[in-house]
Amino acid sequence: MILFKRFLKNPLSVVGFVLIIFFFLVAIAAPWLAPPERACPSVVYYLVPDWLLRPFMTDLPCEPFKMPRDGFKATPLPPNPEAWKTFFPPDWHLHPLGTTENRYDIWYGLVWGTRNALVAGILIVGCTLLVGLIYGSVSGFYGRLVDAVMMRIVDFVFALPTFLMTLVLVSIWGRGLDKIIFISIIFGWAGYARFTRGNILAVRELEYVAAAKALGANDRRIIFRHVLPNTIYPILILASLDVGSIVLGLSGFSFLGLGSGEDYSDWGQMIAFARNRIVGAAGGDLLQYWYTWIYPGITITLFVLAWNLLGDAVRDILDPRLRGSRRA
Amino acid sequence: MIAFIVRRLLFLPLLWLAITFIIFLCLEPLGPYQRVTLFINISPESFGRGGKLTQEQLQRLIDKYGLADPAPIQYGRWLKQIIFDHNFGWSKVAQKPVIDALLERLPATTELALYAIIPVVFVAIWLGVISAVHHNRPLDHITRFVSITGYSIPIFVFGIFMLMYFYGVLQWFPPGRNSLWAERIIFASHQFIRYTGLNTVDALLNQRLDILVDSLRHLALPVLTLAYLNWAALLRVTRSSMLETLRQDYITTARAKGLPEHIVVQKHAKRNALIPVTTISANIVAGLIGGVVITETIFNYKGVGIFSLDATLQFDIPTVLGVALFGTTLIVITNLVVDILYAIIDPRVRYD
Amino acid sequence: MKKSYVLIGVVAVLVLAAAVVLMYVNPNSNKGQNPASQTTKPPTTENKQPENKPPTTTTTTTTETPKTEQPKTESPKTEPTSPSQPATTQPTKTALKNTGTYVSVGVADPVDSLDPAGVYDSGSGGIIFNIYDTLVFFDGASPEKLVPMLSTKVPTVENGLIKDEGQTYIFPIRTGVKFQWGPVKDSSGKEIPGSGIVTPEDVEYSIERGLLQDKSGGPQSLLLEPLLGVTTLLDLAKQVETQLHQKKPEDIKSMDDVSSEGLQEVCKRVKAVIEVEGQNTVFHLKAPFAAFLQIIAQYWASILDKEWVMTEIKSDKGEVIKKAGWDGSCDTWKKFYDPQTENSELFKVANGTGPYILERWRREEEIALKRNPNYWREPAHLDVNIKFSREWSTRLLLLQNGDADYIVVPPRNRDQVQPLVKAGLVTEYKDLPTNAIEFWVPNEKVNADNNPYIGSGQLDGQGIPPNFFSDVDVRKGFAYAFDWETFINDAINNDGVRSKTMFRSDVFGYNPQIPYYSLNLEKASEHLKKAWGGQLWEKGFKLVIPYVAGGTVVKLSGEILQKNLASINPKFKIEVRDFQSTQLTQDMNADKIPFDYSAWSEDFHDPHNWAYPCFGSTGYYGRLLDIEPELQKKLDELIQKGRGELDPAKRKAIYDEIQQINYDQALYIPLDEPTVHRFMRSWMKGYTYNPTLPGTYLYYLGKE
Repeated sequence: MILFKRFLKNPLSVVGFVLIIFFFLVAIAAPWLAPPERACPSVVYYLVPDWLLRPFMTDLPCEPFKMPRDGFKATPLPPNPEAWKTFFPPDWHLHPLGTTENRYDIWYGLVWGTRNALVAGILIVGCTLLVGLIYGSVSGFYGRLVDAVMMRIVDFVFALPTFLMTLVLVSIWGRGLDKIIFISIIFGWAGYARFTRGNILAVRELEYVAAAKALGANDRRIIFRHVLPNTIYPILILASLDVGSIVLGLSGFSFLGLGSGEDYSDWGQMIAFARNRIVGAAGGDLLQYWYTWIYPGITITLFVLAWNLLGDAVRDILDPRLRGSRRA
Repeated sequence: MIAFIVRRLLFLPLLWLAITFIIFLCLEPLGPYQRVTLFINISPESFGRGGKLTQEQLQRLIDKYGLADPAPIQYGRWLKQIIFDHNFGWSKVAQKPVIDALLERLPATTELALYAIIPVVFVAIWLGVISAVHHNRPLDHITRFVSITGYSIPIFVFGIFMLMYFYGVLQWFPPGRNSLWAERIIFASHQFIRYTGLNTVDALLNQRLDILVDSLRHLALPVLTLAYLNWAALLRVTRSSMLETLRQDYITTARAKGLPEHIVVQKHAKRNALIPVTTISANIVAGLIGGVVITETIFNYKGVGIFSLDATLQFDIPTVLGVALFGTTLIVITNLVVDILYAIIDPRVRYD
Repeated sequence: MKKSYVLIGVVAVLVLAAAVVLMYVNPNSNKGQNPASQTTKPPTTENKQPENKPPTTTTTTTTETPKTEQPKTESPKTEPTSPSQPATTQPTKTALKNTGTYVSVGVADPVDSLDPAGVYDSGSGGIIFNIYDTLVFFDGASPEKLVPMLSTKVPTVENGLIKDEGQTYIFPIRTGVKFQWGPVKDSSGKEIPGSGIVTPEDVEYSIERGLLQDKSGGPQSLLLEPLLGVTTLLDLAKQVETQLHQKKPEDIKSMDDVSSEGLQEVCKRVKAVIEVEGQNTVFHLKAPFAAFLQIIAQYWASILDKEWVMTEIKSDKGEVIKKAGWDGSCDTWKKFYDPQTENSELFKVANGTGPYILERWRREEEIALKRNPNYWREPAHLDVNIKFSREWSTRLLLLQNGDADYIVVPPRNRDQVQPLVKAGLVTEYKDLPTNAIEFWVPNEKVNADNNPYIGSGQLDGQGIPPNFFSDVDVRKGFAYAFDWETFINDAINNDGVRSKTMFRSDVFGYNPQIPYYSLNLEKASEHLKKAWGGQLWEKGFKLVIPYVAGGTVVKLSGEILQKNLASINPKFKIEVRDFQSTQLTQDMNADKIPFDYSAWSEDFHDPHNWAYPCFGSTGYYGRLLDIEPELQKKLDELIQKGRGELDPAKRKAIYDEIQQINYDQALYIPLDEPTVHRFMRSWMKGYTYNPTLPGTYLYYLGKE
């Protein structure tokens, strides 16, 4: 409760919090904000993005995450005020925010892209966290040789040039969000593992663990019943705040042409479309196609910003070295 | 101390082996025909147009380079080549041995990264200290907001926007590394000696101010972009470290002595607060590697970043291996240097 | 504390308000809007699909006489077609930049190697043909007319330089033409006689070197076919070994399996083909070959300095600048056979007689060419600097600011250059023809092994049998189901002209009178009902049309077919799916793709280069045909005859027949002849576009 109060005192973190709530609302309301062209037989298709379904089924009956396309021309269409006549939600068929290059609707893409970004971000964080937690707790609890070997492996993962390795692996396996997400998980867990281990080492020395040991509890029980619960909350919070930078990283790969397929509602992909249009018409209006990059650009920035603002505040609060550091 | 350094350096070859082996292992699922694309030009645009190699010709290529062999055998061959011939392979992208190509492009990226790190370090530390001193007051919020925004803006949007404004509208800062006339002097003139490969430094050594100005004009945008997007992390660490230091007992003592606040902050607190800051330098280097790829692409600044992107997009595996090794070495060495510096600055640290 | 809450509220409201205001911003306030794009479209659920026009006429489509207009007469001459330049010319904002230098900015470095005999891609060729000269060369923008270069005359039957019914070609070699590097010195410092100037021996050596090098994936099969009647040197070696040692051709898998006698004999046969007689070089062809001059005019027949290639050259500091090449002897040629690209002695150096000298080649960074002051014609006007940038925005701004004279413009971003064109700063060269045809290839012998594109592999509605397209009714059904109008308007955005036969419309023998297919769904269903004895209609089929991720054109073309076929019979299922380029290359080379979107660019401007690859039983595409053996035999004979026929009327009749067979059998479905646009600063003069050439012939360019 005290933490929460301190949190509320920091205006920046509250802005971040409000924004995050906003993005969650958009993601939840996506089918209402931008109804897909075809209704889906099962709610699964609305919730699970294509890249997660593809490995398991070849024929998808409907694909709400695919951006609808208006004809085959390349030139973007500007926002159409007509679309806002219905006030809210606007009719995306009329392009309330305009279209990207190749005429994909921006409104639709942004709305479903929110859902996609949250699913991808949470999935990556969840998986890396799980791996990191297990790895770190095993290493921290057993200590000695096991710990030494396991920590050398962590050192190894840390020394990898992650960005370059992702480039390499994607170029070998082929583009696709699923692959990038998989790679992010492979390279992402080491930080959490090290953090967990550190915490476990600290907790292990505490008296109640020693007591449990003396009472004859076995290792697994001690790890799961006593040690982990005491270390899990800080790391859970810290990890969840990484969603923002992870989504930003994903969009970077989409920008380099390694991410999702062309018609997929993915913010990075939308920026990739905008890439060629940020410089509008040479010798004329350089801002002619402002809508192709302003809207996706603002959306990504706000999303990442929200998580970072929140994260910054939470880190301040959680950082043990800073506890009580506030001058009245 | 020396034992520690040696141990860390011994770790390096192990890393190299592991990384290259992983990459080769990842190549294993590719069929020989897919590997043969290493040797012919394939791009989505030329697809179906240039595809005139017959089955037989492809087979010839596959036999010649042993592409049908399993990955471990190819890996062995590659290792042997490095150990006995000191040959890291041929870079298809650069049409040169990988080592030569990397060394040739390194100065450009070094120049870019160096100039980017300087403002990052100074601005971030300065702002971090200010932020800590004004903890939770408007100045603190504003600094943090600006820096976090920088951290949150997609680098590619920011970069292209900068290019549009400063080159497209104002025509101040052109893309590329040098103007045509300067390039002619640098690469073709016998009077201009390339001592270091860093154009700004060489220009000074050759006493060519015009080339110095030209180089700086080309550097301005990529440096700014790279710097703005990278200072947030450093600022954060400086700020929290400063906050911690400011409530140490000796600071209270200093204040109690009646020393002016700016002296307390600058003389007593700042120096000690900066110790933990060194630890984050490694992260900055890692961040720069990623940032450099995109920045160089946008500003058409030909360095290691563009080189590695080209290599991966063209399946130039020897180059990719070379760049990966280079990146790893860079990170390990940065970490090592940081650790050593740490020990020098902070006498409390001991290595076992 | 309460103040901070107010602050938060204000910030949040401002952000949201800003977003809403931006949404309502009247787009008319932006200048440069395309008014056509403002037309609001009613909400439809179908707007994702290409618009499909129902057939209005049923019978006229095939008998319709096409326009007799030949695009050739109007096209390649480079007339700047920039729309009505305003009389009050806007003051050009930027003054002429980089005077005396032509700056071109491409996407990525296209040059693989500078060895003229070993490269077979227009990127490398586009540089090489500016440095080296050939015996004869194309005249300006003409893809056919040849002018003498290092040969003082273009051989014809009339001037007596083509003899023996087209089997002997004589080239009188120009005297006094200097190579760029000048005379070569041997190790003792003496000038080697004959070096530095063009001699008939240089010509002989240059061609022989190429033939014996026969780099895999290289261009030499084009010269081997007319001169020696084989497509690879290995085939010649197999012939030789069979004759000398009665070995089976299958036993010889590489040049290493050939005996030393065999190697000698191969070399002798190659050398016998070209001879020097006085100041002439004489070529003896295996059989008459009408397109020989077209082939010898291209960069792979560049003339090298024999002595220069043979000698190792060191710089003043003792570094090896250029390795020693083949010394012309039959004992050593094997060492230079099929070299790795970078092991060729000419990989990164060039010494031609052409208008340009290679000054610097920093791979992926720049190619700098200097004009040759000693050129045997008037020296060129400009130095050349070719640079590369992947980023379109960067290239566009470089053109806008005049720092680049020419940039590569992706077709989909052409509209962004239009303001510059309208202001008269940039000239757009519109609808320039290329040398290709794009077409559908129904693969009649699909490799069914582990094939992801043919479903079940059987005629059960869940896939197709491997020989699915060997039924003529299937092919015709597919042909009638394709919609060229949508294809040209939407898929390729009018960057192409409908092609009607499998010959380019500007190539000799193209006959516009041959009927062609158009969209006709009734006829399509008629044929598909007959196909496979009626079973196809009952059971349906399913196949995959693959495309490389990012390849919009193939995707859209496949979708056009997909939609039309599904509208005839819902059981006809086509899936258009993206694949990774490496996998697609592999599967393409393994003949796994049942219905492929392909394109053929001609190697030389002659109908034989269309007839043989497509219809010859050993041709690149032709080997996949599965038609009646008699028809195939007939096609092979026609191709054989057409190749050597020197009488134009007879030759035309042969090619008419081939085109007619393609229509009757619907062996291939020709789509379009792609066209391109080029954008250049208006201060550039003399730009000449020739579709046959691998790149821009820089010699004509000027800047003022």
